[in-house]
Amino acid sequence: MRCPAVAGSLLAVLGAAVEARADEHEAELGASATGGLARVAEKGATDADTVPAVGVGARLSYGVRNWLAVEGHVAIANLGEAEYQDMRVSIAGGSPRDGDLTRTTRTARAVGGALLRGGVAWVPTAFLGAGVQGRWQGAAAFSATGGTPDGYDDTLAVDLVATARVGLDRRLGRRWVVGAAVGVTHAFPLGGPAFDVVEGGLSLGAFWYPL
Amino acid sequence: MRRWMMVAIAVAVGTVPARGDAQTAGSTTAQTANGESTVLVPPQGGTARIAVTPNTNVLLTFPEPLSKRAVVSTTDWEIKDLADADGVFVRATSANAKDTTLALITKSARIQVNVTLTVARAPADALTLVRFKASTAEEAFLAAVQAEVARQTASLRAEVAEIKRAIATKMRERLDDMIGRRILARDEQIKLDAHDRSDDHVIVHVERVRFLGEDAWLVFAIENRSGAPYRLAKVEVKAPNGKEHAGQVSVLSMLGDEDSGVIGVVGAGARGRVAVALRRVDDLLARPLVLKITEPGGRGEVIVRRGLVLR
Repeated sequence: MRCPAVAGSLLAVLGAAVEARADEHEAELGASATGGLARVAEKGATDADTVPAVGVGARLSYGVRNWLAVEGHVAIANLGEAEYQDMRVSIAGGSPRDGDLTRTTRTARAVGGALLRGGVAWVPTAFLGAGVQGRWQGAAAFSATGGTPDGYDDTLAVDLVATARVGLDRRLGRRWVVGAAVGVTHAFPLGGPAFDVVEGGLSLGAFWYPL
Repeated sequence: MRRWMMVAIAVAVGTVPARGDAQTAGSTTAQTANGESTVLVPPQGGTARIAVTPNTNVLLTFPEPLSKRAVVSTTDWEIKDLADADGVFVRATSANAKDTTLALITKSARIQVNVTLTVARAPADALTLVRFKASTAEEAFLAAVQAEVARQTASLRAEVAEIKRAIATKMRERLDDMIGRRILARDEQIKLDAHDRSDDHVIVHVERVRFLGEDAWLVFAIENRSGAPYRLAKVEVKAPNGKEHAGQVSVLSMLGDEDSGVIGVVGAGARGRVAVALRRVDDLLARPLVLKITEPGGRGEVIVRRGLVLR
């Protein structure tokens, strides 16, 4: 698929999995909407394709210090259709043919890490974490015939991921916070093709003292 | 007032000892300091008693030359006229020097004073310089009254200070006794972990409760993450039935504030600690309490509603 660069760039500035910034002893539960660009490789393809990624996330954090929180978040995303050109594939055991492949991907990941917080009302943030990701790759379509090439059926790939993110939150009072952030996630595939995503997003969170 | 009346009152006031150094009659010791003394002599003349340290020169000065007839040495006392100054110096030749008396008269006879020299019982009572000055009867009377008032009020002040010291000591003893009894009855600390905050980023961290006897002290911190000082005016601890149980509030690490009704001020970005007494906490055990702090006028309210259960 062609790179929707303009749309992806607009989404990227909105921030990805944004975490609210709790004070010490304070917990936060939040939700975020994300958008960005994912670069997805494919077996047999010489070049990876860049596709838009749109998703939602939820997170839970706990402030161990005013400046430091531990955070876990989960996020799912739906990626646009990736297109890989000049692929040599065979269909139903037939002779190899050259042509383009298209394929869609959905991801779900869980990440835990540390969140640095640099403010009170306006809170610059930086997050670094690691986790796992599942990638559901749909059956690929061969452009010339519309069939699914051999070896390109529905499949699940598992990755280890590392995520870095920076953002800015605005605390609205005792309870609520809104924020925006941008981040990047790099996958370390466990047998699957390479994968990276740059995301931006907006978030809304609520605080409470759990103890 | 007629002069004879003043003189009579001055005599009635009596001698005016000042630090036991220059005791006077008919004259007045105006002031003493560092072994110095000033004696005011009324027109009718006066007396003075001067204590000295043995073998120490003591200078007696006058505003005009003395009559030479007055300067006479004895075995125990060496008395010399000062040729270049208006005065004499005296010296006791031994610690056993017997008291002696000098009649000192200035040439114009404005000052006539009978001085008794004696060896000081304590070094602190000894003088090294005594100034004699002529005064009017009114001045001498006024000085005598002031000196006597000062002497009497000094004793009263000392008495009051002694009473205060005794009361403070007694209070401290009773306080120690009360604390000791409470410790024997119950001395326990329970960690608490309750927190809450205001919209203005003022956070209360309830840390612990200390049980001492039938009372307890709730200890919490006020963390001020706002940009303005937090002026703590009121601390409330309420039981579920709404009854108020907060007693004396003590603060630490807080700035002072002159305003009335303010317990303490937590500066912007600072953290202050507070202990609030809870009386007879047996009634409060196992019941959820609510802690509330406010600034003057009810502003800056922070309420901790969860996690405050004493056991």
